[in-house]
Amino acid sequence: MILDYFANPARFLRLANAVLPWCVSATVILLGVGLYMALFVAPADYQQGESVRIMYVHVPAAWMAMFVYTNIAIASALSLIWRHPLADLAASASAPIGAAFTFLALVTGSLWGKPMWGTWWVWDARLTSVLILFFLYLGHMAITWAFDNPARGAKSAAVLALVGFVNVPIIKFSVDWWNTLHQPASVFRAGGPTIHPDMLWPLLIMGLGYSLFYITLLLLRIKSELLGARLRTLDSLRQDAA
Amino acid sequence: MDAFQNFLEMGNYGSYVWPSYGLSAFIMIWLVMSTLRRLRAREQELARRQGEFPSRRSSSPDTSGDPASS
Repeated sequence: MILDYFANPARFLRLANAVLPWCVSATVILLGVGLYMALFVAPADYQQGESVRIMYVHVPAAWMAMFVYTNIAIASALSLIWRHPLADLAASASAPIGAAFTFLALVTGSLWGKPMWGTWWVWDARLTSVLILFFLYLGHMAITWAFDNPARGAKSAAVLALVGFVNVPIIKFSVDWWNTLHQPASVFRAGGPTIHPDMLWPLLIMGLGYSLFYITLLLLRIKSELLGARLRTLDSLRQDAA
Repeated sequence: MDAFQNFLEMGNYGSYVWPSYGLSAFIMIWLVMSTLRRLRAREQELARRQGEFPSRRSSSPDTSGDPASS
């Protein structure tokens, strides 16, 4: 299994160092092109005018909020069931990134809602379930660091991540199951996107750029955690030697 | 200049569009900076302490392995 292959930290670091330059270049190019298209190429909406440009930072952030949480849930399962040694690191390294994207989705959504809906916030199913996702991220981060023994913190956080995963499909389908002020899906839906290609392309490029941004940061943060583990090993060696 | 002014105004939605982009950029740059700062600090700390156990293979990223006897 390919995941077993990368269980060895040395092997993981070699792979990470090899792919990081490519990830950084792809992130910069995609975000640069995406930003240019979002601000200069994409047309204004016939109803929403120029305010529709908020979509190009709001929707990718919301996608990432759910994507990162899904990854944390997968990593948590790998950690709890197969005790994959890097899974806990992937989960704890992802949580702050996911929390940041969820925060961005909430705030940019609010900045879009005010001119379009006439209100900064409404307790509809989509907005409320995304707010719950934000609190799940914060809870995950708090639990990870709440124990003296890092392994116990990681285990408790993994249980929270798996239980909280029930919220992800609720977010996705909230706009279909309930009558929400938030609009229904217009990209990832049965029957294909309903959004015009002139707006869809910049959105997809931004989404891909955000995804690579996350992968790049994740690799850097796991690398950083592995170096931290080596430092702790050195600490214990020094204590043994003394 | 007028074109630029129009661009900034974003059809009177500038006060909503620009904070959205500005905050997104700020948070994402902050994520990168804080990640890099911690990574650099750990790399420097490791390089500094590599001398503590001199016969250890110098650039092995392996976290396990026995301590070199000094």
